[in-house]
Amino acid sequence: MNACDVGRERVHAHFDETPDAAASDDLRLHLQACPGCRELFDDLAVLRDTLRARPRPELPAHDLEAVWERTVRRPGARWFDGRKRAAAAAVLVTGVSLSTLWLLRGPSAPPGPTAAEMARAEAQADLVLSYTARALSATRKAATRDVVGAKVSPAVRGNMPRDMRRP
Amino acid sequence: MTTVEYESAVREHKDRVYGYARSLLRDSEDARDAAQECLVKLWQHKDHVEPGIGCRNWLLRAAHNLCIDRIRRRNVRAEIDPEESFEPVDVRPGPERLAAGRHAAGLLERALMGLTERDRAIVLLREVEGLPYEEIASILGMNLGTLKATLHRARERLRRDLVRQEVTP
Repeated sequence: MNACDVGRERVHAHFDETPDAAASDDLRLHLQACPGCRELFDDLAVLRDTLRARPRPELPAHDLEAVWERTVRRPGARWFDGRKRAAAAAVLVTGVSLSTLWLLRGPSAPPGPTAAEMARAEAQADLVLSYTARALSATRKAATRDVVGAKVSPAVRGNMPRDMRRP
Repeated sequence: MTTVEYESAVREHKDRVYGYARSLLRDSEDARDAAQECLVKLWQHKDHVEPGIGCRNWLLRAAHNLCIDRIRRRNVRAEIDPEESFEPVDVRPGPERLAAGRHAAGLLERALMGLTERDRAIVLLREVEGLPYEEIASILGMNLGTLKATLHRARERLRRDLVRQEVTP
């Protein structure tokens, strides 16, 4: 016996699992009155249950092994894991940044001198400067005396050699 | 998806992918190759696939596309003309003819093989895998109206073929 067109739509809507309550009541009443639709309903219920109970074949173990060999067991594969890769990149960037900063700043400077050390150093510097000034003064005097005494004085005194005198 | 999540997804879905491929390809060797290819493909795209339902749907979509490619390559056209119009038939005798029995599973497999690849895919994705219509429509590139109409037609075709096999074994 064939289902009627209206009933067929309702039966399929039921198996689409989108019926509302009113539609379900309508369908129930319709099935009581229409043997063709009742038959369709029963058949589709058996079909649905049979499909859902259909055994699922198992992927053979050696095929799964082949998948592992081509993916997670490939050399270095785990290093390409997304999060690990991101962590490695973060560590690398941090390392490069720190190295760059260290190179730019150089080794850390020793702590600065105290006020007392600075005062002592200034006194030493003054002493050195005064010795240096005295030594320079003595050197200049000696040089002047030597030059004037050895080179200039004979000319000024008229003791110049004869061949060097003006005609 | 991390490597650990990938391994977990493969263990969870490998049989689903293989079963779906076998139902579409009707060849267990071919289905094993397709399932392997599909699972390796997931590895290659794991950074773009979310674990869980998204992964299941991604795998079924990939499996479907791989199977269709293989079917096209080997140019298998064993199914009935997809354009054949559905004609309701009078199915006798009585509802008990489809009662689950020892032959039910075998009869169902034969009936499924009588569907076109597209119709078979719709029935499997909806009735076996329980995917929502929107997802099936997305995988198969169909609109919802066409999808539901095709599913209704496929169901009735299965029913008719099951009854026919049962009546005339």
